[in-house]
Amino acid sequence: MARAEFAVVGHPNKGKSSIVSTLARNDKVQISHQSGTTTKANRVRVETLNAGYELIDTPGFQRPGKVLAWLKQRAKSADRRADAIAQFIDDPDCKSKFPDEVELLTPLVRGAAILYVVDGSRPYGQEYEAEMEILLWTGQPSMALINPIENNDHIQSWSNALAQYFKTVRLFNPMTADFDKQVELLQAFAHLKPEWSETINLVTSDLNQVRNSQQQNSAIILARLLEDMCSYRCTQKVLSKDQANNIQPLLIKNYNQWMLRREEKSMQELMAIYAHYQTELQIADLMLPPDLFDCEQWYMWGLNKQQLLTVAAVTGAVSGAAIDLAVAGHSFMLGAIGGGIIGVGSTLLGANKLVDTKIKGLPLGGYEACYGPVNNKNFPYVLIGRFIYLQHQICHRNHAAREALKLDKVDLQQQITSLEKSVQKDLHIACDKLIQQKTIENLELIIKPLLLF
Amino acid sequence: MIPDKDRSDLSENGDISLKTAWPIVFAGGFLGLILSWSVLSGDDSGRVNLFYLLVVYLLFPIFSLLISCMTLVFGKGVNLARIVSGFPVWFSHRRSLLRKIHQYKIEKYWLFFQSQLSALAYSVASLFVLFLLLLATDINFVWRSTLLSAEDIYPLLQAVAAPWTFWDKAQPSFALLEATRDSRLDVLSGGKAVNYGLWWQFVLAVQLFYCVILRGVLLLFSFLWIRKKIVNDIEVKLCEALSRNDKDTTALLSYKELIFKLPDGLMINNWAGIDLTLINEILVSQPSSDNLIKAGPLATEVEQRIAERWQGKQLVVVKSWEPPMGELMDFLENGKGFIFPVDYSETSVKPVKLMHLQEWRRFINNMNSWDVFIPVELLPDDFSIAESVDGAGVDHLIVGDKNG
Repeated sequence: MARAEFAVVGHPNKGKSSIVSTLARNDKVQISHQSGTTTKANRVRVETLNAGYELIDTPGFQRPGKVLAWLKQRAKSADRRADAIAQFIDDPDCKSKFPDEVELLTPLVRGAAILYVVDGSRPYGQEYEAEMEILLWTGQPSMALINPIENNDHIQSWSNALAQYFKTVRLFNPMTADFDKQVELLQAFAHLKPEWSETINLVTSDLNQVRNSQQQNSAIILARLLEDMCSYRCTQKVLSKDQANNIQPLLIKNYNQWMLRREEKSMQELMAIYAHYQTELQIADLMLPPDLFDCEQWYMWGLNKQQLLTVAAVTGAVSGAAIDLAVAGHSFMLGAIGGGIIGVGSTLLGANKLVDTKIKGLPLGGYEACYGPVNNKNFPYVLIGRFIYLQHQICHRNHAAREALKLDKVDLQQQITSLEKSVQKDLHIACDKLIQQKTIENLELIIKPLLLF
Repeated sequence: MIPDKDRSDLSENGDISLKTAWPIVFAGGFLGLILSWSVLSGDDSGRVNLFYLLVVYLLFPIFSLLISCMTLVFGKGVNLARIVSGFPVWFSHRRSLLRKIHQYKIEKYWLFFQSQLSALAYSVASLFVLFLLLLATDINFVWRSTLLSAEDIYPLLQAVAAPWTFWDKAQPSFALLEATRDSRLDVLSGGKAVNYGLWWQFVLAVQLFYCVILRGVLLLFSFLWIRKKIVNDIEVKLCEALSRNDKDTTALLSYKELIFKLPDGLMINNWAGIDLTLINEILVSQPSSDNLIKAGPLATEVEQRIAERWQGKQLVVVKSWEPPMGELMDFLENGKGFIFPVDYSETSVKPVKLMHLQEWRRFINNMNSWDVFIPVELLPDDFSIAESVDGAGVDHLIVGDKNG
């Protein structure tokens, strides 16, 4: 399958890198308001499951007038123009005098199609004609993209001018173009060279699948976040109740820090799902319910009373069963039953003494100061609301965007009521179970309808 | 925002440990110890029923292995590890590990893995008891049956011993089978007693081949399987992607001070091709044929040559939104004066945009012979004047972004 290559060319600072970043869904592409940021042609491979293509982010034209003059001296007729361009990129003198033009014309000479970018919010200028003329000389398939950076005021005049040089002229704003518009543009690329159409069609079909898996993965991350944050507790074993009360502030601090970091981690993962690695995230503080402190007694090996009873019963019963086995069942299982009862009985009677007992100075019991888990039934909804707000933002965010993303409080009620009744019911049951720290099978499937495709 | 240094700490949340779950292993070992001791301790005469022993050493391990494997493939996975993990005696860190395992959808594989460790502990404990009793007592392996004869049992034992045909001493022999048949009504014979212990190598081989080796293979398989599942987990992949894609740091830029008042007698260079009547009010020297030149992409060759020959100070009027290009840079190298970035529509001049002005200031910063001129009324709205320095008849003002 032929590999498609598109060189994004034009004046400096007209959004070439932004277009590459958005179409490649890659926010590592450097975007800057400084002209001359891109000094080398930067190849960005767009790989999907079954196909791929390349976008080449090129330096902007710096001396188009002089370059055109150089070319005109060497090509007196149209049949010599492509040769003149090829000569230009290999000429050592040109490489030193016109490095930007050599960089941007090289991929075109080697077969890349042209995506010429202009700013539709500013008036057309005659000074652009030199660079359009040069591009025309390459003879490569081309398309002009009008990027309305600030407004749409001058699109018509640009369209009129560009139509003189390019077969296809399209309006495309890399900051606001949604997924459908991006796909539409990709499909238009397919018409530039017929042999690339199969590749581009595969890419567009793959991109739809990617969106589906992004939604699925977001649901998995949210499910894990909910389970972790609803069950987290911060504990510390101490010798007395007073000590437990004294370390309460430290537990609260550690608990809050952990919860905040856990949520931030999931937010980062969510952004990574959508390949937004450079986005700064400003998160409003998560309000955690107060009064989650508790203090309970512990006994041998750190077990609480219920756990100690279970251990004693099981151990007694197994030991008794061994006796039953040794006497070949002649004891009628009295060994197992008796062993279990003895284990439970001795625990009930002797457990409290363990707290004060020490072996070689080491205590066999004590107290455990504990902060968490959250018991407020609204808490899972708060987490879901914050997460899906970000997911909706990030899902619509183009990779050319560089401003920070704010995470504010969200009203989840409206989104929940828009779900089917059965889905709502499943969600409420799941949230109840989360607060009770119960395991929920396929939680991600329950919350997936809340997430945006 | 998570600082990069914290990302590694947070990855601990996703750490699914393949370390041994000791309570599960301990349960297996305890069971092996109890069952082996119960069976191998025998009766008052030290007689151990070979059939009972095969139940503990062969049938129980094989049966549990089959259940474990079948339910792993067709169900949720039933094994000793699952039973033990269901006891409410797990500490909070173990509970969070179990929760993570559930989240990673590897619960049944992880329990299967721990179950193999538990089965190995069962074998080790069983073998420990066997060797201890072989060493410390006389174990007499006998068999009893009302219905079966040695001819019936021998093929079955041969089949059981098929995996270790290379180990002659651990193979069952028909003669030994006949010799070790026991009846509780028999009076013990001193001459036959030595035969009763000869089964121990067969018993050892049964434990080694049907438990230790099989479980060892399954342990390795489950270990590799879980590793593969973890490596392919979405959260692990995302953490890797995050660590691969650290945030870019933005370099700090230096900007040239702005000039707000022009000296008299400047040559005006209309690089932008602007209708100069739009900026008449701003210019100190009104444009005329005497003080007007033109260079740049819109100039003719003659105009360009004239402009390049001018040696005095000049005011180069440029479009503020068009970034400085190489052609302008080449021209400025041989001249001196001021750059005046203008933002205009067809009928009026507007304040320049902040990012455009900053770009011109950055561009001119390294050119000693040039300054950026902008009248105060055309400053961007989001600029504030930080400091004023008056000198040489020209106001130099250090300006800064309102936001710092």
